Amino acid sequence: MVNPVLLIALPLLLAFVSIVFKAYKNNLLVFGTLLNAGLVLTLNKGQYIIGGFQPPFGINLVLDDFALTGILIINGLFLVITLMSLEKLEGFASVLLVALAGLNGLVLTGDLFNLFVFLEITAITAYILSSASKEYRYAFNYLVLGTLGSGLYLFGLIVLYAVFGTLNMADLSVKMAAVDASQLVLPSLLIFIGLAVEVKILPFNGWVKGVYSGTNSLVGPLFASVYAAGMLFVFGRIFAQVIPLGTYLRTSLVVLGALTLLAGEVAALSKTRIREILLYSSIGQSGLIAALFLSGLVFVAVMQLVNNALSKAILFTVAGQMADSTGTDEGEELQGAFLEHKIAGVGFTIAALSLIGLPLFYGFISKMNLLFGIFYSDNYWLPVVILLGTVIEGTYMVRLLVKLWTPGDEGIVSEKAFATERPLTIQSSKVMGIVVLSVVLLIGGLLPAVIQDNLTDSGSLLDEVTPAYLFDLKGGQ
Amino acid sequence: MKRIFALVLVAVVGILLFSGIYSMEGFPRYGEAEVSERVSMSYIDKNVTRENQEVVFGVSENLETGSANIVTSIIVNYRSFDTLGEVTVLFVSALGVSLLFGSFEGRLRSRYKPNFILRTGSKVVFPLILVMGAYIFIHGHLSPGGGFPGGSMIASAILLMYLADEDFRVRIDDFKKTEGIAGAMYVLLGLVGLMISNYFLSNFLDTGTVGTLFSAGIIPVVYVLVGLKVGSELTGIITDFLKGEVE
Repeated sequence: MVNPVLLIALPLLLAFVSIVFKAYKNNLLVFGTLLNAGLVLTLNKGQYIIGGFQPPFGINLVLDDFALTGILIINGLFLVITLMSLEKLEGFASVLLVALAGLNGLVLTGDLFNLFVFLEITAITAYILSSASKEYRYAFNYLVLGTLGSGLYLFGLIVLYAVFGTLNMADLSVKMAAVDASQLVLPSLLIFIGLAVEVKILPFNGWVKGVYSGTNSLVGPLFASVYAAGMLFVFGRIFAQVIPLGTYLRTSLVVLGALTLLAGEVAALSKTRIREILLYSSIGQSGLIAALFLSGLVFVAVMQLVNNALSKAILFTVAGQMADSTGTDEGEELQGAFLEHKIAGVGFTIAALSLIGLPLFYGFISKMNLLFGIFYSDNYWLPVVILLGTVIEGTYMVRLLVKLWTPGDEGIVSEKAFATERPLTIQSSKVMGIVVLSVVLLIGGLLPAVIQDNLTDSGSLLDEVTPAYLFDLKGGQ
Repeated sequence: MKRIFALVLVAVVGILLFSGIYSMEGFPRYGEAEVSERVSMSYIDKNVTRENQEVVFGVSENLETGSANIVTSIIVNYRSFDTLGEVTVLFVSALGVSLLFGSFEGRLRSRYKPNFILRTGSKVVFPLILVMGAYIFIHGHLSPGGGFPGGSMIASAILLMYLADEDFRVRIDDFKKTEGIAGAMYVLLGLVGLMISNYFLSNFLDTGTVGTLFSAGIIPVVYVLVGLKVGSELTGIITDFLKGEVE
């Protein structure tokens, strides 16, 4: 039986080894990501104890369907993105290995302080990767905000520990549910703000614009799909399973998520640079997914999360590659760029359409389900907001696609001669990665059962807010 | 204006936090927490996996964690996974510093040379600080301190040498190798625990008599590794920060 702690321990071990054998660090990274992606497929669900001390005294890893979906997405996408952009690694191989360990830890851990440790690890690797753009001011800005966020999370956690005397998620959720939720507004809010910085919820997402808009074809997809997915899984774990929110607090946080969705989409509409459009779309999607988690609709939130992660991996890879090879990602300058790169163009189009939620693609299935889910929960204003967001998203995405496929101004017949003269190159490794990811989106759209079967349980397990596992306060090994 | 606004904002947030915490039912007043209802009680009694027994310093044998220092028993035994994480936090921070300053060269110099008493005196103090640092991390399971403070002390000795002697250099590659090897050993120790007792980072060695130097199973081993790792890591960070910027 494979213990999921290996997903954390092995990349960490390779990271330490890569410092000693510097010359082989890129090989070690590739080996580590392959190993992890392989290990994920061999795991069995269950609770895994670390150190031999029964929780809540010791730390445990919880591998339920929710966490399993999370590590599948994280390790799979990490592998594809790393292999697509190996030439962009520069000195970051060791950092990426630590990041992989940290992201797996985030999703797997069943202990709130252990989560803080992994939050720190993951965030620090993100600060380092964000300095790859050489825009140190933005990276520093992110560092300050992110550190403040983890500080607030820790503060909220300290208050919870002072009151309940335990750090274990399952133990804490039982004890918290027994207390009047209005007594827990302060720690819940502190933890929410702490995570909101990384999840990119208004008004705590000031760092996103500077950091995301300069990312290359390696860091961009890593941030927008892998890191975003990891942080959202944590957010969902905590606010759908561990911390019970009072009605008022819950409603106001859902409103905050919906506002983030609208603000992100509206901001994206007014942008012309491709990466800026995509980053505001990422903010919007994060707001949507956070709102779904907060409404208790875990199943559809996970679906939308998967859809967003897959799509953004393709979109940011192509956008980053455009900027890397032509020096700009201004939509106007790149007219007709896909005429020379049809496969990458089709992949980009599939990702964009799936993100909007058009039929044939996985995004349609996820958006259908989430709208049904919200209607069934008797919420009638949130679907309106989501549909409005979708219309805006469709507008700017289709506008961008038209520009990239058909050069020339409006009203004139498009000709190849109008196409951009900038030398766009897309390596075959990237094209292959894009094809793989697009095929997954297509399979998800045409044969939803394939992806659904993996996700169905995760919903049924978490839709009840009761914890998946319970134990006595005293217990032996 | 901006500063006044910031000041008012900080004051308002501070008041909200204080009043919020102290109006919470169940938030214990200072010194009044009921320890017997918390997980920490079992850490103190060392009875997570066994029946409650009296723990006597220098007498009790083969406890679930043989560390006389209760804080150490939590950090390196009950919650050792967190410590591995914190070790990684420092590791990746040092990695970031060295990536950031990778292209920088040379080192800072001040206008005046250090005087001869500082130069010779620091050479006398240097080995003493090293010994003190090593003592602290070797005795982490018995007395206050442990891998992190001990390692920091070792790095502070290096910093003293940097300040006292402008021509002082360390072979940074050796420190990096120490760092990597010590970190890898910590993970390997965890994996050995996983193989022997099926729990990652389990204390698979005999824990001996509480209060003696050779006790507490893998705890002293881990603390020596952490001490070496933190010492060489902070040395690396100090060395990187002393580099000058190339125009």
